[in-house]
Amino acid sequence: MTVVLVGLGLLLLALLGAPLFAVIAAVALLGFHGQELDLSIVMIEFYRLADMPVLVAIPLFTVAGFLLAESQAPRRLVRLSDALLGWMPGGLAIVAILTCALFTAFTGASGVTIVAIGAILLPAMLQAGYPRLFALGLLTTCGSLGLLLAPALPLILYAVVAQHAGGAAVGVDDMFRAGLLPALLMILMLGAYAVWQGRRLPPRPPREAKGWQEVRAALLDVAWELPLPVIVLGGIYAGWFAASEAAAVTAAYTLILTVVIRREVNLRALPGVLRESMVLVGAILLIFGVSLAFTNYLVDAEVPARVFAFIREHVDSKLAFLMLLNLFLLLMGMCLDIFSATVILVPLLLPIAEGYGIDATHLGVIFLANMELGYFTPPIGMTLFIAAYRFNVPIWTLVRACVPFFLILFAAVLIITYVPSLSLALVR
Amino acid sequence: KIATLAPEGTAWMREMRAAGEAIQTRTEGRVELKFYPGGVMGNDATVLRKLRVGQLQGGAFTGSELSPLYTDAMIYGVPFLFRSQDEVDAVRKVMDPVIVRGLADKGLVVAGIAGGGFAYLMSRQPIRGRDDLVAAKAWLPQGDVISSVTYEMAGVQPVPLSIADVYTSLQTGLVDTVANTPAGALAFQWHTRVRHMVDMPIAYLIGIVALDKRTFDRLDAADQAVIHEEIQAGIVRLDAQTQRDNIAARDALRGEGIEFFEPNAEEQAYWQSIGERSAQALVEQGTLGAENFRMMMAELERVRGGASDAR
Amino acid sequence: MSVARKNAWAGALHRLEDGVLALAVFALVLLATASIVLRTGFDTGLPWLDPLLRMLVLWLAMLGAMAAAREGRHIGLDIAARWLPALAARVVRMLTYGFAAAISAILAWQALRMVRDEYEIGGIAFASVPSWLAQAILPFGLAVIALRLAAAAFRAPTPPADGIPGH
Ligand code: NA
Ligand code: NA
Repeated sequence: MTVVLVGLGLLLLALLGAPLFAVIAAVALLGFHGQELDLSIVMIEFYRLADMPVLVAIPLFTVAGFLLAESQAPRRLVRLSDALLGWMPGGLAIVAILTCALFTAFTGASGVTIVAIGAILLPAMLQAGYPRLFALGLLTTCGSLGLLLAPALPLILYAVVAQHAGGAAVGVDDMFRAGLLPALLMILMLGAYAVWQGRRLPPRPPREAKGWQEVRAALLDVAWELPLPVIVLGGIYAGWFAASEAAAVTAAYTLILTVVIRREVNLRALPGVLRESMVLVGAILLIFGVSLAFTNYLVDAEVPARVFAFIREHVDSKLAFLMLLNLFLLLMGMCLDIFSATVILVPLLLPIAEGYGIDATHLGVIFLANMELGYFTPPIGMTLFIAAYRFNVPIWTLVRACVPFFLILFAAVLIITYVPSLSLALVR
Repeated sequence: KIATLAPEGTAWMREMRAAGEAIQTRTEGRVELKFYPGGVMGNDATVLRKLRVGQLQGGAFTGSELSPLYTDAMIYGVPFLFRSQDEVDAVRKVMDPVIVRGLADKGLVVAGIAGGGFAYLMSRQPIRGRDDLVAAKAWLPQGDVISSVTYEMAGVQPVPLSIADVYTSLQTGLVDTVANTPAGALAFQWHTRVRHMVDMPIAYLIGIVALDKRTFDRLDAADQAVIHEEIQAGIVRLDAQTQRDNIAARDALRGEGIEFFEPNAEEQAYWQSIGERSAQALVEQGTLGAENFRMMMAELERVRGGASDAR
Repeated sequence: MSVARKNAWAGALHRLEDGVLALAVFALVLLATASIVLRTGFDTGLPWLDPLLRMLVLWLAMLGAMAAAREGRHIGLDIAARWLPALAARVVRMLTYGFAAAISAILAWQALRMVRDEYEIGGIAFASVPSWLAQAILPFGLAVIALRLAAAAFRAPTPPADGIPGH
């Protein structure tokens, strides 16, 4: 009874606008208190932030994103994509979808995509005349698009965890191949919606230079920015850099580019831009830190194990299990970060799912697809907050903006769930 | 509540769970062991913090992971020291009790020490000699002073990481050279990220199951004995399994296309000289207890002398 | 102290804070780049560099979170705030930010206990930097956040006219 009341109280506080980190921390503190454990565990977990090498990439990519957004880079990007894909309805939107998917494939969906790329693409899309809600929804959705594309870390992590959990042979390469078609399905479905939306755009004013000449001019215009995707994509895919190293090179290059070469961020404005970028990093990592503590409480209290015991007792058909699985994973994807979710849930899920005759590799794709959706599931999907923050709009606006995209990707997730061959065709 | 980095489904976790069940039955439910595998409780430093505040009552650690509490817990990590399992077995009979006493002073009850086997250097690029190693991005187990000094002696600048972060760092290219037992490399999936192995044992790894003394002392003597017996029995089963696993793992690594490289006598002598100089430096700077080190070397001499007498 | 003097002090403090933050960002970019140059260009590196970078991320996060708290800009829902009349919004603000300040204070206290424990044990973070020093930003930062959120609780919320939530 008290538990329910306290829970409702915290939910009310969250809905009334209490800083989210405080709400999550309160749940973790209360949880550990209920287990009669030392409350400093919350901070011991928080301090794990300093133990994660992957995290170094976040402030570095964030700084780069803020600097680029502050410069004229978005305008140049629009010009180029206009020259290349301007003939096509929804061209820029498709550029946005592809860029975000590729970027997320190696940054993981830690919100970096929205921070670094979303903020450049939003002004670009608005300039190109896309409706504001459409642009916001698309970019928020794209914040986690690409989780199923190799070499995304979650694919690897799933293979590692699954191999130990079920004894089933799930290779990293299997997951890379299995994720490809489902990822393309999501990209295609979003792309089709973008084209359909693009048809309703007002006719563009005729440009002076056209065709290849404009492409060439636009390319020259972005000549200094062009090395960036090469550093980031080429550097990592070709194995020149580690992800955190690519982030460092990107940040250093962007700093020199915007301040020294282009001079579009002047020295007096620079500290302000750096500060703003770190305010975002601070706000995100504060939540991530306390959510580590919250996750640890769930692990300590064996909550996931209990939920699964309950499921095993009450569900007997494969179809019903899959349906329940989707709902459950959506909920978990909304609450947990993907890495914790994988480490905690997969070992519990796998034996049960195999009991219902579900392939371990297919389960991995279902799992990650749901997590991807969970990222922007209202009301507490993580990218909703990051996007609201970065795009400077109320959460409520974003929730509305995301509805059509959520429905499209939810349909994709259902197809992925109930058509196993989509995941398994390239594996076997 | 016991945390371990070993993932669910490994032989280690199977035996630990079996030991846990036996303990629960024999103590009629007075002692129940709950395991948190796969590093969900955090890395070694985090687990030690959680032992202190009482969230956990035990953990499985490597020797070097316990070295911040008691440096000689990592004494078998002295590089290029042992040449065979027999040498290790003999030395451990003498030195294991020393480690147990040392950790007891720090509030940890050692329930058992498992032999992990010999660690080998594995890498993405071939390491045929000193220069190759200097150019590598080598992993340094965080807080592992012995490896740190050894790398320093060899002129290598390693990247310090907790073992939990090694796989992702191999994946992202932050490190490209690691050391582990063949079975360990398979269990952590590192074999998918390396192509070469230097076929010369670097050091001997142990796994220490350590329990919080405050909690342990609250149990009655009979129950304490049961815990010791069952964990020890589990470890005996494990040790046999581990030795088989390591042999099988070598074949598995070969099967995965990993190339084995055996250094020639000259290279071996060079590495051994590095080992000796490192050990000397470690004793001089007081990282390893001089007394204990002498004791270990004396026993090693005795075994080797005995072996040569027999010949 | 007069209001003007007080504001001047606060202004100077905030500028100092922003300066430290900007410097820390520069340090992060420089050190991370230096690490790559040393490794790829000279086949060498500094063993303390990677742990230092990781610690710097934690410090940057806390400094950033402190700056966010200064302006009451933490990530949170803003559904109710948009629909409430001014007076109710003030009360709600006091409630939610007061709550957050209290939680931050508890976290600061727990962080201080962790730092004290680490000090006694004498753990090393990297090189000769003790772990307790690396952790020290946590109690300090959370205490500052608690104070700032408490102050923000009594300020009237500016309605988020499509502005930053809670701004
Ligand atoms: Na979490
Ligand atoms: Na999530």
